[in-house]
Amino acid sequence: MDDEKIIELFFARSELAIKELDSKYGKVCFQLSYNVLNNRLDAEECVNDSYLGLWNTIPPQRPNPLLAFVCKIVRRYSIMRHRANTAMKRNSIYDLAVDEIEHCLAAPVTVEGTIEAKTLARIIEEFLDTLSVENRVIFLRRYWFSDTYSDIAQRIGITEKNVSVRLTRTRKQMREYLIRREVLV
Amino acid sequence: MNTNLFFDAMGDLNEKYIVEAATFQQKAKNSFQKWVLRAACFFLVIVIMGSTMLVFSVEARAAFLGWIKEVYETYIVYRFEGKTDSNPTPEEYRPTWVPTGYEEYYTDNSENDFTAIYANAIGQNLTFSYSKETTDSVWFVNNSMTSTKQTYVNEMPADILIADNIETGSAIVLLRLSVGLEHVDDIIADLAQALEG
Repeated sequence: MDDEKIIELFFARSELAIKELDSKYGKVCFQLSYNVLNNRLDAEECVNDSYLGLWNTIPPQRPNPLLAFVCKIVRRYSIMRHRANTAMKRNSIYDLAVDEIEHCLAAPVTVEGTIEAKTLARIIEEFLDTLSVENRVIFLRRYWFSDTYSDIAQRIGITEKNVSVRLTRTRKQMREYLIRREVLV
Repeated sequence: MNTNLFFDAMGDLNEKYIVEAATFQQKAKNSFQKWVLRAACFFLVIVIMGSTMLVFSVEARAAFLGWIKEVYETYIVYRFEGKTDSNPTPEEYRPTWVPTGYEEYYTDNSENDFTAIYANAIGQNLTFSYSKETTDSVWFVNNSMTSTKQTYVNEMPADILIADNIETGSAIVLLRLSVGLEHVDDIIADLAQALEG
């Protein structure tokens, strides 16, 4: 079923909307949540919470594209759950991605508190626009979808080592970019 | 900077980046190309959208022989299966000549590809692009909306793909080896002359 029809079902308040949404994007949503939480039950709960969130959002919203909208909600819920589970052992792919990027963002002087996430997002978008499509996709798959190197390698059609090398280069480029934009001083 | 801030900012990225990453499909790559053949060749492509497309390839050092054409239902594959021991360093190429009336208005110099687009006053585009991957050895040409005939450009054998509608660019596919950029410009001039004819 195409996205517009699913959204129409949401507008008609038909529970079939959730079923069709799950049928089309459920796997992607679960994988995304599981990559962050590394826990099947938590991931399932987050996906279900996201569906409820979606149910309360549509209408009035009519998201286009639906996939990105759903993924954003799932990712947000999953990261919130991850941060709430402070006692949780740090062993998810998301944790690995956090550790990787931590070095890249380290700076003796930080502008944290003076920059908002939305402002930083625009700067990151500008940086992403300087990358090739493949490198941009690799970066997003790692730091947005929290994919493993293996998953990314399979998706892009390159080796895991190549993924690792490209991510290292991209992180370095991003750090230089953030310094140039005075986000990192 | 706090990593939480970074990941929150990632969550605020424009949807287009998410969709791009979610729907990205890898390019069709031949396993022979990836694992066996290390042909030191690369490709240069010229496209005049809506009117004519010119395609030719340049192999810097290897032998002329070795190009194989495979014709499928909706595409043609030009595959280099010659042997070479050379492993050239990728070079930067730019046409030093374009047909009269065309001016550059867009360039994209990414890690793996280079593209420059030139446009003329009546809206025709000429796109010059090439792959920087020195291991690329396969060139795909979509021929689902074209018929293919044999032709010659400056006594060199070539394929001409004639589009069956005005939305699709016709094409001349010319497989050729060269040793310098001056030859590339010669080919562009020859093909432009052929097109005008």
